[in-house]
Amino acid sequence: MRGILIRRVVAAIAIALWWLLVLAWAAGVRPGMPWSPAVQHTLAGKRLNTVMGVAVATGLGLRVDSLGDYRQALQSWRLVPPLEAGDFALLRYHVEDFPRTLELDLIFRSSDDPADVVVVPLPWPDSGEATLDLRRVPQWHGKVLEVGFTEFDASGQLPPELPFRPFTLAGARLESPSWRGAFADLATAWFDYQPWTMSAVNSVQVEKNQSPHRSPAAVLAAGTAGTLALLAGLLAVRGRRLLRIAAVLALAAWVMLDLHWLARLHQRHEVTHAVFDGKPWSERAGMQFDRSVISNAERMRQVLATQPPGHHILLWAPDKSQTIRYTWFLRPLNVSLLRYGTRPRSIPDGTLLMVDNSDDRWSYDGSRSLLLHGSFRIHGDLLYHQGVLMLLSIRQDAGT
Amino acid sequence: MTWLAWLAPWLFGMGTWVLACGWPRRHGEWCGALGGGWLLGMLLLGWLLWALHGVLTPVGCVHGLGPWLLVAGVLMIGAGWQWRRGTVPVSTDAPLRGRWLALAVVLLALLILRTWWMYEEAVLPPVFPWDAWTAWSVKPKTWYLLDQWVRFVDYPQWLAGQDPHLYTNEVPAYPEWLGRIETWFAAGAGCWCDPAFTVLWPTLWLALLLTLYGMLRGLGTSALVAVLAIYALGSLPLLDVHGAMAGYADLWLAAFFALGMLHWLRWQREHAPGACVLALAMILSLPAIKVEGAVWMLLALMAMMLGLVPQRWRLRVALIGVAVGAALLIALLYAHLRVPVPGLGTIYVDRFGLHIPGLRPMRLGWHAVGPAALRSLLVVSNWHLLFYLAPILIIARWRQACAANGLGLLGLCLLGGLAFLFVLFFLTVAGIWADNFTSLGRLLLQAVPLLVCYVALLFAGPRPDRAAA
Repeated sequence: MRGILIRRVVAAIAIALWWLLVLAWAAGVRPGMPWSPAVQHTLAGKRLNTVMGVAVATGLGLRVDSLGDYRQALQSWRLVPPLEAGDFALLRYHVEDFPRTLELDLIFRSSDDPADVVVVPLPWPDSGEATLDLRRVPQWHGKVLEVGFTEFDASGQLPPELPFRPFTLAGARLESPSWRGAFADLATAWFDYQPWTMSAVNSVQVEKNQSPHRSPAAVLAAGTAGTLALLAGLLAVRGRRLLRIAAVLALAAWVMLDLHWLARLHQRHEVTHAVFDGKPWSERAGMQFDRSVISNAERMRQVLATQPPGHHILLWAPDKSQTIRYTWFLRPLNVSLLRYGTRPRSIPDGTLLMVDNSDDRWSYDGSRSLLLHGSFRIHGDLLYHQGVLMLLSIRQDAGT
Repeated sequence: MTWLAWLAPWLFGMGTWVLACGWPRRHGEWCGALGGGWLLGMLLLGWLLWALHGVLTPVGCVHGLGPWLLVAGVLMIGAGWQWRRGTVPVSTDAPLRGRWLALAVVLLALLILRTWWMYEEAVLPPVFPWDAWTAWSVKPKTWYLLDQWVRFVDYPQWLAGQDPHLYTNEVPAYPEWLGRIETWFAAGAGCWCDPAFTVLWPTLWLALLLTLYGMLRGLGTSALVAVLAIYALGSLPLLDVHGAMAGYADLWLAAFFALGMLHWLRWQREHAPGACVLALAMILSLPAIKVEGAVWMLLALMAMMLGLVPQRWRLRVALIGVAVGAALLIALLYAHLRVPVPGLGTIYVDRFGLHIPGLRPMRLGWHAVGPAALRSLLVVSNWHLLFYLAPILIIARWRQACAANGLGLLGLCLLGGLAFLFVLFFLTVAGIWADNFTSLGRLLLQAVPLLVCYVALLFAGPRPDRAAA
């Protein structure tokens, strides 16, 4: 009886150690790593210098009250004397009430290239504190002269220029590698807020650069498989009993993964609900992530409405995805993007060419009735040119 | 008219379902009839709008067709109640009790919890995913706002002619079934507003889970196994994302592929003609939903044809089929044979690579995308533990999996799908889509509902084919 009890205790300890080992492997803990960081450097939030935006020092740190030009805020610490980047592997930062409608980036300058400001996207400090493993940042090298944060409108599904909510930069800490830091980094990777992206329909999360061993599914699979092996080896659990335990563990692991996914889905849904709920569709329809395209498309529509109907309309914008967005907003007009490689001579007379000349690479030579963009030259009559929008009615014999 | 746009195809689909499958009497059968009726209604609606496009205008389609569908649906449901009661096999296993009931309630609660979030995600923001506004919703938006079923042609043809009735977009050759469905719901709402059609995606997700539960119960799985399967499927993050981020056709394809094969399995077991008709209707419709549906259709048809061969000949016929397939592949690669594929067009290989209608030529060559494929299956948070557990469970039930019956053929069909994915990603330039996590996940998604059902069916008890008196 006592032998069985001892075996069970040993098995329980072995299983606990196995899970700890798996989690440590996932967190990237190395042999000989101390529990607490050997070196750390604390940066107090209230000592941040405000470069862009409006902020005031409070007892908690630096409270950012509004964004600055280009809807961006920026704060930094000048490090005197500079810090050796190699001494610090982790950045742990604490931000209170950071809204999910903004994005937070780390900025720093190092002695390698003092004129160059390196910008690194940071995980959302959703629970207040979050961690970044600086070893994944190739430019984190040499002597660090300045470090700070910048905040701006979040990209992705949300429209820009949502109402601003103040937040407080409580501070940050640079740390050398430790168990504690490694687990904090893993917790950030597993539980931080990740917004919807267009590529979510291909893969729920962007994990291309994530090490495979950090995947929750891989961790739970390894943990479960090891647990079963230990049960079979140490407690001689066999046959149907082992199968039953395997089924229960597999179901429990699946439910844990599902709860993890539900938490992620809930985080995203909270943002969607907060931003879009309670507004009529007429208002929500304009809440696109590329609002500037909508307003330009509306102007294009007004300009095109002055033309006789039935024309085929070619569209050009500096970016292909932007051009496709224009075509989407302009439907049901008979529009298509001007495709790469289209020979100007192949475009029939009467076709309209609408150009978003935001990058200022198009020009019209009125004396020759010629619209130019690099080697692409096409004859026609300029029907409209105001701001960045140009409309040309193509006429191949114009200017001859 | 929104109520008519929703109710008419649903009742029409339910009527067709009960006529084909029999009047539902147990909760599993009701789940099948309610969810399957909606899905079948959507399928038939898409075909009817295609067939009647000369008669119906995009704006007036609900007004013109809705009442007819409604009346036909009610009549068919009435006919089903009158003449098709007593044709459904009676399930013989005991209902869930005690801790199993508690487990089922918890798992179903987890599914219900996300349903509301998914609906809001689909309905509140403007349509967001890339293919929705570059491909799938472009035609219906144009049709509805013009009130004309204008034709979309490829860019050179559009550019060359100045026909005002010819339109183009990024992918004019994409099938139009989904576009017609979107047009119908926009017409029902009386405006082109995104929520009018984006609401279809979470509904599809819900209907798929309901129907598969009913189908699994009908095919002999216990209530517990059916609940576990439905929970496993409904909890998969990529499936949830396709329910919440409306606009792609992959979930529709996955739904009809799974339902078509399960109806065929039912026909194999019960020889009910209605199940065979539904199976063929769904499987033959796959290319009309998405281009790669042609591949799933071919695989399904091959499995179905093998099912017609007496069991003792199946292995030999299957081997002959594999040999013919290999010969065709060699002829395609080295003799530049042009192979007509029903529902897809002619495929051939030349110096530019493999040509598949509707897609850009794909350069051939070995692509070592094994690590990326494994990451996609086992590491990325799309599938929980599905691709860890499914192989283990299939091996654990290898006798059922290798049987030369309908279930074995269903497994063969899935294996054929795996071979297709291998050829596509390892031997063509499409390998980059595996490497950058784009298409591989979505192509897997198209087969995942069937895979989950297949694994669940391996654990089904003796088939409940004792027909009610």
